Amino acid sequence: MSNLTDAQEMPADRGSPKGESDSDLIERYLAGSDEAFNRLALRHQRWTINLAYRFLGNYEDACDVAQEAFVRVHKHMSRFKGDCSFKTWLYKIVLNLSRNRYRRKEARGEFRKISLDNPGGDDSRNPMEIPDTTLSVGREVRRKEIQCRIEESLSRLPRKYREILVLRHMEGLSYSEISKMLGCAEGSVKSRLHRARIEIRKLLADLVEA
Amino acid sequence: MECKKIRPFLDDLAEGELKSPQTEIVEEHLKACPLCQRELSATRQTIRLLAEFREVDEPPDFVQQVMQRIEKRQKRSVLDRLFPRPSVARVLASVSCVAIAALGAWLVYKQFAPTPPPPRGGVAKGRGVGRSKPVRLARASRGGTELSLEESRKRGRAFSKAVGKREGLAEAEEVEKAHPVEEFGRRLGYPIAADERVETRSAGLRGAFARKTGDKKGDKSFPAGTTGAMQHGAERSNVVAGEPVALSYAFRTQQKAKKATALQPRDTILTLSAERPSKSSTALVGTVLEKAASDRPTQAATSELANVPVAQAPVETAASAGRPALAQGVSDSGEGQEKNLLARSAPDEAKRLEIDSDWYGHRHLGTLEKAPEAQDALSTALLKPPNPSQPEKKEGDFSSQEKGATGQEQMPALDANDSRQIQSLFGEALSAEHYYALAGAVPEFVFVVKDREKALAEIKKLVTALGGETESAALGDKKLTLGVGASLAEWIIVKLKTSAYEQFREKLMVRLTSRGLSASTPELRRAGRATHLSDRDEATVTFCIRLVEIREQEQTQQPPER
Repeated sequence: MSNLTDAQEMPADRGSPKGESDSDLIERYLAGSDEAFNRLALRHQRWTINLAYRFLGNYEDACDVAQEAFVRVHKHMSRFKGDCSFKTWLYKIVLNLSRNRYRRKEARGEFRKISLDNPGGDDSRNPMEIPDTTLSVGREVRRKEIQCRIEESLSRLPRKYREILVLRHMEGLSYSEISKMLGCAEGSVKSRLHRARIEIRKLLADLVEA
Repeated sequence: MECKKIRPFLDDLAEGELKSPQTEIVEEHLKACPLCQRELSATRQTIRLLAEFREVDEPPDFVQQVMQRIEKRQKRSVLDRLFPRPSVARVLASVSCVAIAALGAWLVYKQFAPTPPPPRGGVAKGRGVGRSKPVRLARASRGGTELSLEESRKRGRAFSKAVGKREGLAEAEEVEKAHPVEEFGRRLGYPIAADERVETRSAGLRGAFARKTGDKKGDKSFPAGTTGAMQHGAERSNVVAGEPVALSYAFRTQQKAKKATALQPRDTILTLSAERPSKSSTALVGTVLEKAASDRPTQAATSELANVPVAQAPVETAASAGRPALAQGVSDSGEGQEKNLLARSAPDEAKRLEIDSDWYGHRHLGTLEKAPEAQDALSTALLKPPNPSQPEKKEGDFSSQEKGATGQEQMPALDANDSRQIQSLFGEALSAEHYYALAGAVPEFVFVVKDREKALAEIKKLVTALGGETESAALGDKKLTLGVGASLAEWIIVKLKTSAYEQFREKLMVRLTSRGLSASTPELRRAGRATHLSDRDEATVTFCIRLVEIREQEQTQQPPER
């Protein structure tokens, strides 16, 4: 499980000089360096987009939410007090923005329906379209099908179940981190996670049994 | 161990977070339990599936897009900064701006809008003793348009509703403060003359509020006399064109709220009397009727009431005499009151006779509205130029003295018809001067007394002691108003120095009560304090006191010598 409580432990990502932590970059950015913000964005862009994607199930929305999250970071960096890691802070921003987007889409009835007959949909940028030449065609088709099933099942879950499954089993956050992020007790996190797993197991019954 | 106890640990075991002692126990159980094994396996598979959920790649120009967005955002307008994207908030902000602008325009309009034109009925330079100001004819019209009865009722209901929504005295007072009575009148579409006594009406409205809302605390906190104030407030407002319907509707509503199964100690009888020529048919004069005495139980009064010969009301007689308006005034004093009382006191009997408890209000006003010519006839008759043959007025006869220097304000004479009507009202002994005195004076005090003559003597003594003058203006020896048995009414006109008025008011009740003459209760005393003076200037006040004595019908007295 990842530990997000210490920003110093965040490994240097691409585009960042070796050994330069989030705290250093934040400090430099606050001192007026836009280049530091660029490095920060480069370092965290991938997981930010993925997190949003898992919450929302739509790549375009995920990119938009991730971009908006970084715009917020740029604007409100001075409010970051350092009492949690930068990643945790960014998690919360992405989570809130995703929730807003989710509600808006829910109100408009715009959730994308994934068709098992056309898993990739019309989204040409969907990574599902990227061929994996290391796998046989049969296994690739099967993998895509499973991914689509998981994505579809997640989209059918209530938002609170989806969030907690993503945070726990996809992002690998600890119970305490999740409880802080969601603002509820650890016990509640565990029980909610248990119910969420039962729900998704029902939706993925054939895959799980297999 | 039972599966039920093991299952809660399976999630932790599947995630590898189960601690040592429990792990062994659970694993021991799993060896022998295929169901729990399957459960654990399913949980692990679910977790694995979720963990293997694919990752997506970021767009190659993601950071550039972020920076472009930031730059774009910084260039946006103030409104856009406030509301980052087209949103409900943005729409609401726009709507709010428009609404605020509209409100501002309305307030400016309200501030500078011209006041409503005076009623078409106009101001008649009427006069009567005790009234030097112009008397407005009570015609329900506004801006040249006759106000229909239905429209009046509608407005009355609106007013009543507005009153009904208020809760409690505090709010009533707040409303009163924020919206003076003129404001109410304006909002209701009824202009109220500025020269009316605002304080009286205000007290009346407050009282109406308190009573309407059933706020007993509020009611009690009007020691100035809720009842009297309310009634006189209504009456006062009635003076001005059109206004009465709204107020009387509110008043009637609260009256109806009382369950009129029997006469109550503070039962109120509304009488439309002939006190003022120009409003004889519309003025509501409140008379607080107390139980006359302990030996006159309510039940007896009610049973007497059932025998009231309403069919013999003088309205037909008067109408046949060609004076419908005055006839209406006559019926106000007698029949209307009786019917009203009957309707409230003996509802079954009233129903049989098709009498509605709001008879005194709308039906009556409706009659007037439908016959404005009748009112004109009345006004004309009462505002005739003075009769040259009229004898010189006696010095000190303040009830008929001139109020101004012009001949127009001389006392007009009464013609034969008028005299007949007056006589039918007040008896043969009533002179024209007395009639005008009464017509110009709304009773300042109304007392229900046990012995009218003794009470009158006490009042005279008190007035004399205070340096004032009295004149017993009228005596009714017939079933004049109350309809409960026979009632005898004494009208006393009092002229006092202004400085002595307060003293008189304080001593009057004490004197009557201490001599066992008054059947009034403290409520009546309170009512007395809130009534208005008939006329006053810097030096003197002139007002009318009405003494009512109720007797058994068979004991009706002959008129005393005058």
